[in-house]
This record gives sequence, C-alpha cells and structure tokens, in this order.
Amino acid sequence: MKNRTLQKLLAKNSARVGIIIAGFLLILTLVAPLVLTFEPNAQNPAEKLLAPSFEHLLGTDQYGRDVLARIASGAFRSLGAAVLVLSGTLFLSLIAGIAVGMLGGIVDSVVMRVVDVFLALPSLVLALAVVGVLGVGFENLLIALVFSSLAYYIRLARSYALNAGRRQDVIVARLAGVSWTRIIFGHIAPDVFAQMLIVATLDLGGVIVAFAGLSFLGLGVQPPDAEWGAMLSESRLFFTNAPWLLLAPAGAIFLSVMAANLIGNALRDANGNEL
Amino acid sequence: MKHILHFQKVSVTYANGFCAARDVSFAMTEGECLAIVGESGSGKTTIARAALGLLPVNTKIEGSIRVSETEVVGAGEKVLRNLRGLVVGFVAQDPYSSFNPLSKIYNHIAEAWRVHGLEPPKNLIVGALERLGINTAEKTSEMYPHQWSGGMLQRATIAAAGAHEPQLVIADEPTSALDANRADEILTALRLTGAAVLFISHDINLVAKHARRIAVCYNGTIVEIGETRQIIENPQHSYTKKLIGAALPEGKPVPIKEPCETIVEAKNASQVYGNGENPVAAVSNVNLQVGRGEIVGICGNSGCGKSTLLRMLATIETPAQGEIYLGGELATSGESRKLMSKKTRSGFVMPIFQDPLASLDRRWAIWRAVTEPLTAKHLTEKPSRRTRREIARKILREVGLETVDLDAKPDRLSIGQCQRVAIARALLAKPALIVADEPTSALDASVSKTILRLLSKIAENGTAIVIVSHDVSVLDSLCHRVLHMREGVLSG
Repeated sequence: MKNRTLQKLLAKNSARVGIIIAGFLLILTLVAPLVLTFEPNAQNPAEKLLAPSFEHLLGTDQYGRDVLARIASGAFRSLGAAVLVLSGTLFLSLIAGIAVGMLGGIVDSVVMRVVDVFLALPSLVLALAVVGVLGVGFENLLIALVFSSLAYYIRLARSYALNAGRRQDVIVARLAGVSWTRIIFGHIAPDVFAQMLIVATLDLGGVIVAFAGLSFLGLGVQPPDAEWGAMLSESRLFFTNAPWLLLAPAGAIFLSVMAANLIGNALRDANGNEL
Repeated sequence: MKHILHFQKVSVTYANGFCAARDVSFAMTEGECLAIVGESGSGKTTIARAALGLLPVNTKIEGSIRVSETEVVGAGEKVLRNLRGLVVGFVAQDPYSSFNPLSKIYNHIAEAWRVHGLEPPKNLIVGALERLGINTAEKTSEMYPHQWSGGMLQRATIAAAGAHEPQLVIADEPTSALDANRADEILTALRLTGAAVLFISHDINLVAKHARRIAVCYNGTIVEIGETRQIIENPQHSYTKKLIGAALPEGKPVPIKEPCETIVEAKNASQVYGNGENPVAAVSNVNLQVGRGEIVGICGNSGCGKSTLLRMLATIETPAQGEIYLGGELATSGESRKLMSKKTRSGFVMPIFQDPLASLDRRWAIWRAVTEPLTAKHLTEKPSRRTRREIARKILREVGLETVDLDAKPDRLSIGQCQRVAIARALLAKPALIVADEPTSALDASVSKTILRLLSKIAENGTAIVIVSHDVSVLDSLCHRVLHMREGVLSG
C-alpha cells in the first residue's frame, strides 16, 4: 500500500513541485553548512549590511554575518521544530484519542470536557501562556506548541478511533474473540494514524508559521542563534535600506509552508478514495 | 438511423490509476432500450457516468462519446448543463438518497424546470406522476419523501428525469434498492417516458424482459452486445454463459435429522431505536429457535427490522427487552447491557455482511484477514505466521479460491472473491452459528450461486445459519424454513 500511495503521490504535478521544494530546503539545511565558508554567527563589522553579491549570495546583516549561512542554520531549527512539534502532538494525541475513544464512559466524558475547555482558547494564546510559565527558550517553545494543538488532535483521533471501532472488520474480530489489544494495534491504530498523518502534514505550514511568529516575538530561539522568525524580527529595523534581510527569511518560510501544503494536499487526495 | 448515444473506443482511467473502462464502443438509436449487464466493479456505472460527464475532474477519458450531436468528452460545464435534464435524464440507484428530506416531492420534480430558469408547470408534473401510477398526485406530491415508499419515490425521480421529454434516459440500477415485485413496475414506467433508455443492472433476468438489446460488461470492457433473444438463447462469451446459466440452485436443501440441539434462541426479543417522544420499534417480540445444521431464512423489505434481529442474535446489539440464548446459555438480556455468556466472544457466532469489502481490513493481506480468528484470546495455542499462511491456503482452497495470491489486499480481489474470503474467515472461527445479512445482494447471479452453494455445504457440517434477504427465491432454494418479517414482527 505504501508504494502505491507513493506512486499516486508522484503522479501529481503539485506534489512533485512540493517534493522538489522540500528537497531543496533539505539540501540547504544539510549541505549548506558544509559548503559555505561563513559561520552563521561569525560577526564581521567591516562587511555589515552588504547587498547580495557573489561572495554573499543573500547579502549580510547588521553585524556583517552572511544571511545565507544564517538561513541554512535557521532552517535546521525552524523545520526541525515543526517536525518535532507535529511528531510529539501526533504521538500523544494518538495514545490519548484511541484510549479515550475505546474506553468510553466516564473517562471519555471527563477527558473530552477538558479538551473542550482548551479548544475554547486560541492556540497562540495558549502557547504564550505555556511559555510564560516555563520561560523563554527553544525547548519550551516546542512544548508550548505541542500543548496548544494537542486538544484539537485528541478530539480528531478520538472520532477517527470511534469510527474505526464501528467498522465491520472490527465487529467480526470482536465476535471471533480477538482481544481489544490486538484489535487496537491491528485494525484501529493504523487506520487512525494514517488519517492523522494527513491532517498533520496539512498543519505543517501552520506550525512553521506559528513557530516563526513566536520567535518573532522573541519567545523562542535566543540571539545569536539563527531562526527564520527571529531573523524576520531583527530585520525590521533595517528593511528600508537592506530589504534582503527581510526577504530571505520570509521567502524561506513561504517556500517551506507551500511545500508542506502541496505535499499534504496530494497526500490527502492520494489516500482520499481509500479512507 | 440517427444515433442518440454513441460511444467510440472509450477508455476511462481514474486519478488513482484504476482503468475502469477499456475500449468501450456501442451506439443507441432513438427510442431504443439498451441494458448494460455486469457484476459490481465491471465498469457499468463508469460508462453511465461518462455519458453524462459526471466523472471526477481528474479522470482521464479517451475516445469519443456523442450524445445526440454533442461531443461529451472534454465538453465544458455549460455544454453539459444544456445536455443534462434537457437531452438526457438520469435516474439514480437509491431513491431515498436522491431526495432532500426537508423538501416536498413536488419541489423535487419542479426543480427540473427551475434549474433551467423555467416556471414549473403544475398540471404537467401532476399528470406525469399520475401516468406513472401515483394516485391523487396533486395531493400526495405535497408530501415529504419519508411519507412515500421507495417504489413511489423512484417513480418520482423518473418523472423528474422525463420532465423535458429527453431523448435519452440513463438509469443506473434503478431497482436494486427496491423489492423484486416493484422492479417490473419501475422498468415499465421508464419505458413510458418515450425516450431511449440506457439501463444498467446486474440482474440479467430482469433486464431480459424489458430491453431490446443487451450489452454484457466484464472487467471494464463490453464482451458481448446483441439482441436480447440472441444473447439469452445463444450466448457467445463464457462470462455471459455463466450469467445466464446461473439460475438458483435447484431443489431443497438436505433435510436435517430431528430432533437436534438448539444453537440460538430469541425469547420475546424487542429492539427500540431513539428515545424521547417517538421511539421506533425496530423489532417487536420475536421468538425464534434455530437448531444445529438448520438454515433459517428471514425475508422482508428494507427497513423491516431483519438486520436488527440478526445483530441481536449475534449479540452485536443488546435487545431492549427479551433474551438471547446461545447454545442454551443466556447471552444477552433486555435488563442488562452486559454480555452474560462466554460464548458471545469466542467465535460461537460469526457474521457475514452484505458488503464484503467493508468487512475486510483494506490494509491486511488476505492470509492475515482469513486467519484472524486463530489469534483469539480464548485459544491457548496461537499458530505461528507460517502455519497461519498454510491454514489460510487450505481454507481458501475449500471456498474455491486456490488461485488467489495470499499476500493480495482486498481491493485487488473481486467482490465475489472478497465474500468468499469473509466466509473462509468465519469458518476458521469454527462457529456454531453463522448470521448472514444479504450476503449475495452485491453479487451477480453466477457468483451468488457459488456463495449459496458454499453456505449450504457449511450447514451440512452442522453449523446453523440464519440468513436475511429481500429476495424470496434465494431463500426458498437454500433454507429449511423461511420466515417473513414485516414492521418488526416475525411470522412463519
């Protein structure tokens, strides 16, 4: 099934564009630090705010640091953060959602009411609150973002699990005497996971933007480390005479969000008629 | 002669790469009735939808489809809109889902005029309904869809399809949601519209009475097309021969030795759905005893409660009142939602469902699906992967699937093969009772014959079977006893 999903995915032009962009970003993240001669955090006051040239492909910032080197090292944090946040959310919500959906009864009612409360709060506000409690920093921002989207994902996983639990193949397995553990790991969890993965891919763009946004506010990565949202924030002061400082991280965010959405859409369509 | 519908080397490939129709060519003249016959998945619905330009946007269509004088392949939405309703009428499979439950029936038919910006003529609508055999149509057309029967609703969709006196009406299995005696009426009503009728069905016997020509569809291509008489009396293709030869198994099943032990018993079992002001009694006070090796058929129209009864017998549902006994032990009772007997979750009862594809996990290879009952909790000895594959191969051979790839996923099998996989899985649980809910209604005649034969063989080995169907002829040929169900009440 995996191979056929991949084939269907590759048959789409939009998916190919998405994969090419994602591949480009991946190469940028992994290869650029090895090829580029500039250290992302190395300051050079003599070369500050230089326009793009052959030496500095994307120019330099107010401390004379190479923007391309900083974009590349920031990609590692920005994209890595998004992937980490979503894997964490997926993992936790899958366990919680399936458990709640299968146990039902009082556990279900209590957990879902708590989830409802969290759903009532805007997720960015929730993330801000968590950062406020835990303190500023990269890891704390990750935790905050996982926490802020968890409620929505648990709700989704629970409804997918409930649907899967009503399927005829599950009824047959129940009547045959197969244990719940086997049914959950064999029938329900794979189904819920496949559907949640598609939702998560479509959400990837949103998480990248949310992470960049919170870093822009200065809550995430701390200077001098590079991160796209933080770079955007720093460039504000100089963007009239050095617009490349703004355009480079903005373009990087734009490209990665687009790649994530294109791949997510194609993944959903490729799986659509099977789910 | 003028062609009203002309398919020329039409191939349809869906976005997922599935080629549903290959090199389909045929032509229909004015006023003709052509039937396309084939099993589910043979591509007949794709052909009907292609003619109306109703396939999903990213579907690849090759060849040429001409309706009247207009080319449909590659035509824009505007061109198609002028065809639909005006030149071609469409009658869908399920009359219940083609109506908006919140809108009156009159409005549904009037919509045929409104979408083209015309004022609906009341007398024409009423007249059309009365011609189709609906009495006092002026009053009844002001009713809501749930107040009409399925047969009446289907006649209303035919009235809507014939609103603008189209030259062609396409009907996709218009009778499969209805009981058998309604089917004839519906087909006669279709002919009454005066248009050419393209009629799609899996039932060749029904079609033979009405169509002038028959096209037999198999695996995405039309394997045979010709005059009805010629096809019925002298079929050329091997699949057509199988279809026509597949009358139901003759005679009565092997009688069972009396007396025998009772496998399942329902005592005053009732089920009520919905609460509040209008609870619906789905099943009321059913008493039923089924003995070892006995095949009991339950017959009734859709919505009469037969599936609910079956679910209660299988302890998938607990009855609102009354008790279910499995092998003499109390399994479920109306007062409790708890299961009382260990037999309820030990493969004592195994179900077979109407849609075999839905009853198999689409991610699981069939060897794994078939042998799933062997992983049950109550079994002390759980076979290894290798023995499971061996067992799967053996049991699949017993149900006539020796050539199937053990590692295939259900979507690579035909529907009939999937149903046999489902039966094989039920057998491995060594059930004392099999409950089958319309096990053959999704299958064509030749495949259902083999399924029914398989079920009667299973019963000879001592398994009790309760089978539900809306088709009396299926039950008569298979069952020791046939019971009738009407609005939740079971009678002999």
